[in-house]
Amino acid sequence: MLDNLALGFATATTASNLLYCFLGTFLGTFIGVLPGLGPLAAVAMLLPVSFYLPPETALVMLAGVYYGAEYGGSIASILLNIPGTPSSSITCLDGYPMAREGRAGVALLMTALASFFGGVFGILVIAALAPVLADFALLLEPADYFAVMLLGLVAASVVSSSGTLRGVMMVTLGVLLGTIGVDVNSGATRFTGGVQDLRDGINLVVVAMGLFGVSEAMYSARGASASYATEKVSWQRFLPKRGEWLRSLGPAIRGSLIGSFFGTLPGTGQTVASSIGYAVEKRVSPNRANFGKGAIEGVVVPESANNAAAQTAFIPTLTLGIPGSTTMALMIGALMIHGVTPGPRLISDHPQLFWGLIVSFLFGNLFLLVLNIPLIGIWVRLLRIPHYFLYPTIVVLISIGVYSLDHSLFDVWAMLGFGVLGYVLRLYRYEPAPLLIGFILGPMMEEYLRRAMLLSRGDPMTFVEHPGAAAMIAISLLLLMLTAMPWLKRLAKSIN
Amino acid sequence: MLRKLSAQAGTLLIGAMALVFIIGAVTVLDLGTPRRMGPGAFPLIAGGILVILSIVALVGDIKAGAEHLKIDWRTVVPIALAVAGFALVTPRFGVLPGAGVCVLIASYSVGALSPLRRGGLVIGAVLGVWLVFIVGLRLPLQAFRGF
Repeated sequence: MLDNLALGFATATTASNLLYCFLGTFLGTFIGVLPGLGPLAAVAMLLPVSFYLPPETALVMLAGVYYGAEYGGSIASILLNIPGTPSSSITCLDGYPMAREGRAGVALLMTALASFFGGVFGILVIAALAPVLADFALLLEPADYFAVMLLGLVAASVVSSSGTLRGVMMVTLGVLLGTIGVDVNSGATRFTGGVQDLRDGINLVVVAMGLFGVSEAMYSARGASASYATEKVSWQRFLPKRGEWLRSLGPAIRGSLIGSFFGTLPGTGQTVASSIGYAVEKRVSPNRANFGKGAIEGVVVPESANNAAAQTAFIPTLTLGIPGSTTMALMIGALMIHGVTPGPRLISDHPQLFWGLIVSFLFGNLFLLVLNIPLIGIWVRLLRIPHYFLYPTIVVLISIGVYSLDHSLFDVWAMLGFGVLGYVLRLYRYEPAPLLIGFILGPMMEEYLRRAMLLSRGDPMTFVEHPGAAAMIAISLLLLMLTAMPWLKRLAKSIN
Repeated sequence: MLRKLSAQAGTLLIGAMALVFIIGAVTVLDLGTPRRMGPGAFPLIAGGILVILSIVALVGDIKAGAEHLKIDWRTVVPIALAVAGFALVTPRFGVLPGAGVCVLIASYSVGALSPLRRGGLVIGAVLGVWLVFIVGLRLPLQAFRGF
C-alpha cells in the first residue's frame, strides 16, 4: 500500500500534473457555477483538450473538472436555488434558505469544508478498499440493484419538503417521464407522440433547467426591486456560530460514510448518496425540526456525501469498467482514447495511472478548498446584484446552456414546458427535486427489475430471497411507514 | 365544487399525466409476461401507483380544504415569452440576437425598469454571453446569422 501511494505521489506531484489538476478544478468550478452547465457539460467541453496530454495528466485534469463542477453546482444551489447538478438539488433544501437568511457565506464555507472532508474520506476509502469494494459490487445481482435504487427513490421522497406523499408522487412522475423514448430491450418507441426528438428520451439537463431554472425565475422574478443579501462580505460573516462547528462534525462523518458506500455502487452515485445521507440525518439529528429551513446539517451532509461518492464512483469505473454516471461514462471514453481499458486489470497493468489519479484527488480537493474559500466573497456578491438584473440574465444563461448541449431548439422548447410544469407543481406545493431523482433512477430501475424478473423466471419472491435486496426493501418500507404514519393518522381523523 | 377542484389543479394534472402513461402502455405497448416484461409493463405499474397516490392526495386535500392559489401572469408570461423568443430568433439571426431578445422580454417580468437600465441590462447580458460562451468556453455557437 505504502509503495503504491509513493508511486502515486511521484506521479501526482510532477509540475504538469499539479498545474493541470489546478486548472481542472478551477475551470470545473467556474463552469459548474453557470446554470445549465454541470459536470457532464464541463467534462465534455474539456475532453478534447485532454487528447493532447499524457494519459495520467489527462485523467488528473478531467477528474479535477468533474469534482470542481460538482462543487460549482452547489454554489448555484445555495445562491440561486438552481442546482447545477442533480445531486446538489439536495443542497438547495437548506442552502437556499440559509442564503435568504443572509447566511450565504456560512453555507458556502461549510460547503467547501464538507466537500473537502467528504472528498478526503472518499480518497482514503478508495486507497484502502478499492479491490475489496470492487469485489463486493461484483457480487450484487439485479434484484439487489433494483432494491438499492428503490431505497434511493424512497429516500428522495422522504426528504421532500412538501411531505412524503407528495414526494412519492413526484418521484413516480419522474420515473414515468424517464420511460419516454426508445426502450433499449425491445426497441419499441414509448410515449413520444411521433416526435423524433423524443426518441432518445428527454435530456436530463433540459428537465433540470426547466424545473429549477425557468420555474424559479417565474416564481421569484417579481418583487425583484431589491437583492436578497444585505450582508457585508467579511470573514465574520463566513464563520458559523460556535455551536455549529461541533454540530457539523457528526453529519460530516455520517455523510462521508454513506457517500463512500453509495459511490461504489454502479448506477447510484452522488444523487442517491446525498439524498439518503440527508434522509438519515433528518432522522437522527437533534436539530431535525430545522431541516428545510436553513439547518447547517442540511448543507454539510449532502455535500460530504456527494463528494465522498464523487471520489468512490471511480471504483466501479476504473476497476469494473462500469460507469456510475454519464460523466463517468465520459471518463471511460477518455481512458479508452488513451489506449487504457478500464477493468479489473487496470490497477495491475497501469499502477502509475491508478495511484497517480488517486493521489491527485487529494491535491484536487485541496485546490478546491484553497481556491474557493477566498472566492466566497465573489460568489456572495452575486446575491447583491439586484433581481431585475439577475433573473433576466439567468433566463438567458440557461436558455443558451440548454441550447449548447445539442444545438437543439427542441430542447429549449422542452425546457420551457418543464418550466411551466415546475411552476404549476410548485404553486400546488409539489417540490420538483424528487421528480428529477425519479427521472434519473427510473430507467436504471426498470432495467434491473426486468433483469431480476427474467433471472427468477417471473417469480417476484426473488426480491425477498436475496438477503441484500430484502434488507434494502425492508429499510425502504420502514422509512415510508415512519414518515407516513402521522399523515395517515391525520387523514383518518379528517375522514372520520 | 369548481372552486374546490381548481384548488386541486396540481394533483389533477399529475393524475391526468399518469393516466396518459397508463392508456399508452395498455393500448400501444406490449405488456409481456412477468418473466419477460414488455416495454409497457413498467410504465403501467408506475402509472398505476401514481393514479392511486393522486386519488389519496386529492381526498386528503379536499378534506383538509386547500387554499385557492393564483398564478402570477405578470411574471410567468414574460419569462415564457423570453424563452420562446430565444428559440424563435436564434435559428434565424444567431445566438447573440436571440440572447438580446430573450433578456429584453424577460426584463418585463421584474416590473418597471427605466429604459436606460433595461438597455444596459440587454447590452451587458449579450456582452457577457459573448465573452463567456463564445470567447471563453469556445462553444461552437453562431454569434450572428444572416448578416
